[in-house]
Amino acid sequence: MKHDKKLDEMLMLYFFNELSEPKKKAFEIHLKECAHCQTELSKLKIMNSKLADTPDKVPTPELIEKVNMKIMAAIAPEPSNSLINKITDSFQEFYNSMLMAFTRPQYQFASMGATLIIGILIGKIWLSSGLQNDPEMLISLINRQSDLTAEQQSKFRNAFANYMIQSGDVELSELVQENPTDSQNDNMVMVNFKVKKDFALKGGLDNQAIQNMLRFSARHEKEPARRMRAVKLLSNSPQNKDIEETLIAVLLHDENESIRKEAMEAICQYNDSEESKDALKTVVLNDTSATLRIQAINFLKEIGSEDVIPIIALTSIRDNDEEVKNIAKNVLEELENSKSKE
Amino acid sequence: MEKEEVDLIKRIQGGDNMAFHAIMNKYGSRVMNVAYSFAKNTQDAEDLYQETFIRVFRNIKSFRFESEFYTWIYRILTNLAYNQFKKKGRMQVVDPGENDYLWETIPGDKEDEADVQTYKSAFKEEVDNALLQLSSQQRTVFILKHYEGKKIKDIAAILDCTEGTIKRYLFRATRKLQDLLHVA
Ligand SMILES: [Zn+2]
Repeated sequence: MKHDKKLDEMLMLYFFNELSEPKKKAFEIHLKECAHCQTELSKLKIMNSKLADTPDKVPTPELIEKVNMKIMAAIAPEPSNSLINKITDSFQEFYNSMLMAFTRPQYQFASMGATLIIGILIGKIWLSSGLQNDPEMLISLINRQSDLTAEQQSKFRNAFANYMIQSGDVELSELVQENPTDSQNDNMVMVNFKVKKDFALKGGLDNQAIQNMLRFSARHEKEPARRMRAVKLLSNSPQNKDIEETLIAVLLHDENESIRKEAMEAICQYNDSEESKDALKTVVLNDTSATLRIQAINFLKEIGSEDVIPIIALTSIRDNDEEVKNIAKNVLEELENSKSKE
Repeated sequence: MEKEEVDLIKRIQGGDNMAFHAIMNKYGSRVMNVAYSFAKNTQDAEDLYQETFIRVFRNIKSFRFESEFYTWIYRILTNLAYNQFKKKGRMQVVDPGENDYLWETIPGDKEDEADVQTYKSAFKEEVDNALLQLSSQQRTVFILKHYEGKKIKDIAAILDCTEGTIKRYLFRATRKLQDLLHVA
């Protein structure tokens, strides 16, 4: 059989193993007789031998991850902006309500309720976490956690925890205190809470997110034992205004007497605060527990400033418990005596 | 398809970007290896990989679960390789990209094939340069045929061309390579 142009294609297809069995057989018969095809086939085989069949380089997992991160950033620009806006908007709202609360003549938590507490939490975390200066960070945090350093991840968790508190759809499932025998400042606390799935937060009592979770827990846990534990931990935390506010709210609103008592004892560490003093006055006038009213009277006596006198005087006349009345009378006398000595 | 994968894809289709990360983790190294085999240098491989997954993401709502998901990704990747450098004409051999250190160089390690490996690696650069001188269509078709072992019929389906077109590219690529590798 003589070689012709059509057979060039057959040769290629033969080389690339694309011929059907009959066509292959037929071509092999031609190949035996055709010097041209034999030469061409050997050239193709030489070419083939030069072509490396394995890649000389393979990507490392680090490379894949790095490029994946770029892709995640490229495909996710918008949704997190709305989150930022949501947080910013709600912060503004909460901030306004907070201002309103503080400008009232009497420091009143009662009317503000839980919204204010949560508002303060979010507002404070917003201000203190530096997120308001770094929306980029929040976006990247929310979108791609695995891109983060350990420190950023911890920031994310904290910010997330606070955001979730705001959403209100949070249920604390466990509160664990590690090494409770250690000195107070070394206390590590783990707060497990459910949002849609379990989430854990771990940190020292000086960690703001932990503090916020504890504050949330102290106010909103259904289980009294857990509220109690949160209040106890808060009383061990480094003192700050936020914690004081929560303790005051617990003192004024918790239905459980021993928790209110615990909160009051914690508050009394905040000696010079007007807010604490106002809270103690409120207890003396309004608390349902005579024991607590008595304790509050004694704390006010310790403070000893002039403005406590009218409250105690009122109690000595008006309280419906005789023991409280008597104690109020005694304290009133002591206060007036010490005043006249000055 | 595994149920887990179907779930992931449905989540992405429903707007859950994090699920897309999981998909990239699953197929990343396979896709990058194929991208490298087409691109012949790390920088272009990364670009091709990135563009592939971005298109996968943008078009994922049109994925109807009628094929394996990898096949669908592979098709997007291959078509990008086939068309991507049309405008540029030919790919150039470029300097190593910034991430070059994140690639692992494989030594020829099978002892009984050591001679063959050495022989082949001696031509490695020459072959890569030769492949880069082909048009992207020629190169893509040739790589699909020679390295990926695909049938012409399948290549035509992947690239949505006629078998005649594929043959034309394949034969031209082969002739050109023979020429460039001095075996004409
Ligand atoms: Zn012939």
